[in-house]
Amino acid sequence: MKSQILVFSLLLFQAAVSISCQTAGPVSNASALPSIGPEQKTQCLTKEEFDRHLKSMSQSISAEATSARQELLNTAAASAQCKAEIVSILMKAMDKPNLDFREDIESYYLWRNGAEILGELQASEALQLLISHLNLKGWDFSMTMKHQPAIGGVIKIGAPALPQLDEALRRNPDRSMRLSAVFCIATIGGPSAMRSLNEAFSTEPDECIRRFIKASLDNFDEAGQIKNRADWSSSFACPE
Amino acid sequence: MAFSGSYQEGKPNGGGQIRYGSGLAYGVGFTVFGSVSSGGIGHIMKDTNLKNPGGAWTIEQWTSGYTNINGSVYLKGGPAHADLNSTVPYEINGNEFRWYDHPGLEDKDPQSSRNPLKSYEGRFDIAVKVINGAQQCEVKFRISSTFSNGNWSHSWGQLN
Repeated sequence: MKSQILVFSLLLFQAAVSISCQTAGPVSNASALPSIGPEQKTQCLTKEEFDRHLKSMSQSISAEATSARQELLNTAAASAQCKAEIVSILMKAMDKPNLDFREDIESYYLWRNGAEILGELQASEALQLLISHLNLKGWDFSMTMKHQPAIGGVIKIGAPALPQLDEALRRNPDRSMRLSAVFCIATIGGPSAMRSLNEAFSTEPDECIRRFIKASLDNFDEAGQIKNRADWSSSFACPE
Repeated sequence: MAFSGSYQEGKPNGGGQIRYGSGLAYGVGFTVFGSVSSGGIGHIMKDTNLKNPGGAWTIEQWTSGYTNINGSVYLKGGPAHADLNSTVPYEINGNEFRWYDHPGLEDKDPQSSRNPLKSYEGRFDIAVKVINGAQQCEVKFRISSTFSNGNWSHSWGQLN
C-alpha cells in the first residue's frame, strides 16, 4: 500500500512538473526549442517563411536581405518566445562545420545578415557561436569590419559579451583571435573592458597585441569609451 | 573627397595596401570630409554619435560592390547597402566630420592557405551623404581595382 501511495505521489509530482513547464513564461533557452520539421508550423513564423528569409539573407546584403532582416526583427519583437525561436533557428543555420567564407559566399552573406540580427536582439545565447567565429572573414575588406561578421554582432551585444571575450583574450592560442578580442573589448568599452585590458596587458605574450592593448587603455576616457577611434585604430595592425 | 595624401599615418588615400587588423588590405583608400552649417552630426548611419546624440545630421555611405575572384563572382553588385558604422576611423567635431575607408580585398587569410589569390576584379560604386530630413548633400564615385599576373592596378572617378 505504501509503495502504491509513493508511486501515485511520484506520478502527481511528475504531472505537476509537466504542467509547470507547459505553463512557464517566455522561453529563455533557445537551444531547448525543437527543430522545425518540414510540415511543422512554429509559434511565430511558418517553416516556409523562415526558409524564405534565410534564403534572402544567404543571397545578398542589400535591399531584399534588409527586408528579411527587418521582418525577423519585427517577429522577434512580438514575444520572448518568438525571439528565442528566431535566435535558435538562425544559430542553427549559421553554425555549419568547416565554414569558409571565401569558398562559400552564401554562408558569408548569411553570417553578415545573421550576426547583425543576433546583435540587434542582444542574443547572449549566441555569444559562444559568434566569438568562436570572430576571425572568420570574407575576401572583401572594409573599415566597417563587416567582412568579419561576428565582430559586429558581438560588439552590438555589448557588455554581456565581455566575460567570454576576456576568456578568449587570456586563453586563445591564436594571436589573431586575441587581436580581434581586444578590438571588440575596447569598442564595447566601460569599466569591465578597462579592467580586462589592464589585466591582459601584463600577460599578453605578443608584442603587437600588447601595443594595441596599451593604445586602447591610453585612449579610453573616464567612462572607458574610446576618445578618438581614428588615433586608436592606428594601432590595430598586426598582420600574420 | 580626398584620393591623395592620407587620412593619417598608415591610412593612405589612393590605390595601395594597408595593414589593418590581422590582414593586408588591397584597394583604394579615401577620406570623406565636410561640414554642415548648423545642427551638428548626431548619427553615423544607424549608430549614434555619443558625443552629440541630438545632432540633426546623419553621415552615410552606401556601397554596391562587384568582385570577381579567381574567375568566380563573389560580390554580385546590385542595389547599394549601408556601408558605414561607428567602427570606422572617424572624427566629428561640432559641425565638421571626416571618415576613412579602404574598400577592396584582404589578400591573406590567416586561417587558410587553401585559396590563394590568382586574379581579382573589384568595382565599388559608392555614395557618401550627409542628411537632415529632406536636406542632403551627396557625392557618388566609383573605385576599381584589378589584380592580374601578380600586379595590382587601381582607378577611381566621380559618378553622375
